[in-house]
Amino acid sequence: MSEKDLLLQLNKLKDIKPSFDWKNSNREILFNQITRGHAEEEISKFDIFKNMLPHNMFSRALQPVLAVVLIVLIVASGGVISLNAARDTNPGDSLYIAKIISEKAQIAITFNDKGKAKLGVEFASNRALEITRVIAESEKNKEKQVEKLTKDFKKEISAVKARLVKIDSAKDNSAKENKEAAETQDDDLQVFSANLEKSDQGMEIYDSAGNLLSAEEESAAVEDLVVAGPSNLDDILTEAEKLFDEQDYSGTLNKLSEANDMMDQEDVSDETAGADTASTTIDSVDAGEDESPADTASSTEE
Amino acid sequence: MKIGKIQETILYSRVKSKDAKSFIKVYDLYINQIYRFIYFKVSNSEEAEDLTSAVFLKTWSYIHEGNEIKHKTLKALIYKIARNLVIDHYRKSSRQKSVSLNDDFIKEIVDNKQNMQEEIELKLDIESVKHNLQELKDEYREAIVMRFVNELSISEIADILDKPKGNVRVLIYRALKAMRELCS
Repeated sequence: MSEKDLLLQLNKLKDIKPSFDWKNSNREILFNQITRGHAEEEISKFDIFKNMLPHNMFSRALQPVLAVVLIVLIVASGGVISLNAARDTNPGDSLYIAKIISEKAQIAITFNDKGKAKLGVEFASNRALEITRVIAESEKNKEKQVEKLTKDFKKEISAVKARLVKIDSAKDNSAKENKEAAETQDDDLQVFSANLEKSDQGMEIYDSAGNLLSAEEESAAVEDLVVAGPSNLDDILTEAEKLFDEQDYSGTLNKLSEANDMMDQEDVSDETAGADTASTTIDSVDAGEDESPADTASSTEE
Repeated sequence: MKIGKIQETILYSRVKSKDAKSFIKVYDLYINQIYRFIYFKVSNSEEAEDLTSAVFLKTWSYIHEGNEIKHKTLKALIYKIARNLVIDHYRKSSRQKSVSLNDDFIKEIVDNKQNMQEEIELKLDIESVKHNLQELKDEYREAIVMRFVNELSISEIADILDKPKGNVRVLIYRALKAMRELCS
């Protein structure tokens, strides 16, 4: 017999099988034996996953840990990838909802009010961007979408304004505190300065242009620093809204980025202004008091 | 019935997690092969049936006794258990191995052929092959049944016999050679 024939014959032996009836009855017997009347238990998918991981003495203890870590990594990376994909979507795209959810999540995570305001500006500009894109594509639901986006834009802007007011009042409080602290120091310093020889102008303060400020101008400048931020921002935001209404979307985007920059600047000047307010308030009060000589009581040093 | 590697792995994990239904699926998947495997070793259909049911029951208990399982696939584990059970069976009964095979199966195989002459020829051929198979060394017979009747891959056979793949290839080559000599 040739090898080929031999192999064919051998292959035919595959037809040897157990009888169908025996198979079925045996199946039932086996099932009863293994379950032994236990009620059907829910097999947790986690257990199944765990059992798939490598099996040796050491890793048996680590299996749950490894399983959890793997699952977390996979889910996290999946999340990151899909969020990035969602970034450029417009309303009407399926991933748009994911984009909105991620925006809301971002706001929830930021604890700083300032940060939240900035995010609000960013989202407002996103709405404007989306409107431009929606208008560019000619689609059926355009009007509805434009309407919705306009609503959302206004919502974001008013939310930002509200936050600014909040920040403002917080700042006012801290400014007031500084002033009070300064005033208590003043009393001591009045006495002190009376005994010192000072020019009429007292301490000299220069403004940003390098011109010497008088005392009044000083205090005005200081007040500006404290109050200027929010009200200017407010104006910018109102202007942005106006441009939006006029459908000048690129103008809106420009205004919003201006607002963003201003907020960044404020951050920087905030820190220095805080310190400055205290010292310059003292000095301006000082310079004013110079004309009216104080008590000639013994000098008290702070 | 054939399933992919991934499905087999999933079934395996489910069985390890004590999922009885999955185990019944496993039973359906492998029962024919295991039966055949055992049949060519014991040459008796009733004994083969008994041993086959014992194999599956033993597999279930083995997995759930918490033993460390070296085998990567469930298939290899089942074959291993089947092999061991047959060896134990022969140790207990001091029966001789070469018992003539039942004729039942030959009828099944031949039935669909209509030409009388072909029938006879086929019957003779298969008979002689079967006879020769019995004459072979255990090791060779086992290898041939696994490779050519049950169509297992070299890696699978290596896993079951716990031998390197090279050895398995050589084994099969030698088994075929011996078989050819017997048949000629």
